[in-house]
Amino acid sequence: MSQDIRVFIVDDHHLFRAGVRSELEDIVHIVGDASEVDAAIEMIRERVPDVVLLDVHMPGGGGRTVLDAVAQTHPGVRFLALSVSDSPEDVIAVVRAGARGYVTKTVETAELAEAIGSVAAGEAVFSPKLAGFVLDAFANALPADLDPELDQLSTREKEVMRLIALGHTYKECAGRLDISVKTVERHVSSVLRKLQLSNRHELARWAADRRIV
Amino acid sequence: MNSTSEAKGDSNREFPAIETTLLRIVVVFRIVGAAWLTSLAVLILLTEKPRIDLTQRTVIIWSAIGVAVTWTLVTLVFAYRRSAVLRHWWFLIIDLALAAWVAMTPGLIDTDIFFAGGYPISSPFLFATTRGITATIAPALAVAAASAVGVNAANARALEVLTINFLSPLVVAWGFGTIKTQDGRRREAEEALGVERDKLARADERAEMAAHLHDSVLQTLALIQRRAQENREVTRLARRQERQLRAWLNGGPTLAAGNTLSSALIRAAEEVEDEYDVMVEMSTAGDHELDERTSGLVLAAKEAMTNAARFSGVDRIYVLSETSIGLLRLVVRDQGTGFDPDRVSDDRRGVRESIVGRLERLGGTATIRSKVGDGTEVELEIVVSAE
Repeated sequence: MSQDIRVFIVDDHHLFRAGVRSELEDIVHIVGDASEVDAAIEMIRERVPDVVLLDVHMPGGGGRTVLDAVAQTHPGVRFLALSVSDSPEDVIAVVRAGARGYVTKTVETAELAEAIGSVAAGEAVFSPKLAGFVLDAFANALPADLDPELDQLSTREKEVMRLIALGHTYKECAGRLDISVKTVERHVSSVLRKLQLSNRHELARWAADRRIV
Repeated sequence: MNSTSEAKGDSNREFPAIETTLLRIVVVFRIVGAAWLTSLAVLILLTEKPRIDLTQRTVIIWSAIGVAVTWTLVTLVFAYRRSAVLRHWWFLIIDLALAAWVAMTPGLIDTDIFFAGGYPISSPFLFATTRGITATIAPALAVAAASAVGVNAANARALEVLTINFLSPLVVAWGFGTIKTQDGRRREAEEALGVERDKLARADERAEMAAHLHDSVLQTLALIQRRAQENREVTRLARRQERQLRAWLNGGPTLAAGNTLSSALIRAAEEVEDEYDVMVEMSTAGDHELDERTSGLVLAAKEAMTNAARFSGVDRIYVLSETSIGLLRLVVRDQGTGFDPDRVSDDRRGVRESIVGRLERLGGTATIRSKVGDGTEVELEIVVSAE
């Protein structure tokens, strides 16, 4: 990975911040970290990092507040969501709010570094977990009154999501589907866009159902 | 808490707050009545020419004053101490007898002034306060009758006195009864509110604790898992602890405790994780009820996971289950050593047969794709009746 990717860490858990910092220090350029929502917004606006590692579960409004506030003034800053809890509704919520990807906190250092690199390059990072959530969210039959362009995945996109959910890298996906890596990336970005823009009722209901579980 | 301690208090302090207030009203009424009686009686002594023997009249008048004043003081003392004595039948009967006597005295001295005043009626008021409307009827009638006797017979007010003295205690009893009922309802509502508040407080506490555990324990467990590549046992323990904690935090049954295909798959994955010290990345899109066939599918999937855990040489297994209309599709994948499906050793063939054979019995298909050095993928499919 490139040492000149500027990374900012937002996490209210000190130990975790320190841990991620020490692991990533040699791989990327860490420009700062914050444990509170307000402080995070202020420092991110001041230092304008390439990538913000954002804990989904922040007190005081949570990661979403940081995402929304920074997106208003600095749309170029990209977010990678990190979470210790894999509750689908939380994850889908931050992705819908604009995060370029999601990884769980148990992710290994190399994987995390790679994900940061991808997000910095403007790609979407779909961990197997997120791909599974997406498949689940789009699994139900489409109601008639919705825009199929936005509210359902194409066959190819579904195939890509399946392969990612099974742990394939983008390159492996490309090999399996006999398409280029660029095309895989395009499919993934398209899924991300649909996830963010879709007004699919099913998505909301799906999240609500999950909340009960 | 307040209401229970009030109800269980010692016998000297037995009245609920509202009854004490009503009692105070009655006692004040009695004090005013006794004072009125005294002043009218003194007026008679000073101005009216005796129509009976003077000494006899003096004795009767003073007995009325004495009884009214003394008994008013007695009532005042008991009321002040909120004593349950005021509710006792023997006290009320004495009270009533004295009131009736006082009510009759004006008749005994043949006076134009009905000096007994309001004092007698305060006795049925006392019944009304402590015993309710039914218990008030007889005393009201007794006092009314005694008052009618007490009013000079020549005076046409006898009927009026009878009516007023009989009806007003009943009206008062009804009014007091209404007040008491409403107070009771209010207190019940307050109690219910208190219970509700306690419940909310407990829920808050749980939420707070959940937040705390999430922030501390779960984060720490995540850290342990990141840092513990050298020590697989630590990872395993952390994973198990994390699962238990998550289940507890979510409160009540989690997805893993449910009775669906996804739940059963998650349980199977957890068993494989614990037994073979691997991590299963499980994705479930859609769900299906757990019946004989889907249970069979879960067993086959578990077999595939176990296989991957034992032979692949990697510690991460991916599982994707998809339920679309009419079709259940389940893939178990590892990125491990793989094998040549055409040249498998006997033990592996056995396991493989158990997967393929089982799926055949379920009327489905199992496809095993593997290459040496390139992982293994087991795909299971069964057709289910469309819902």
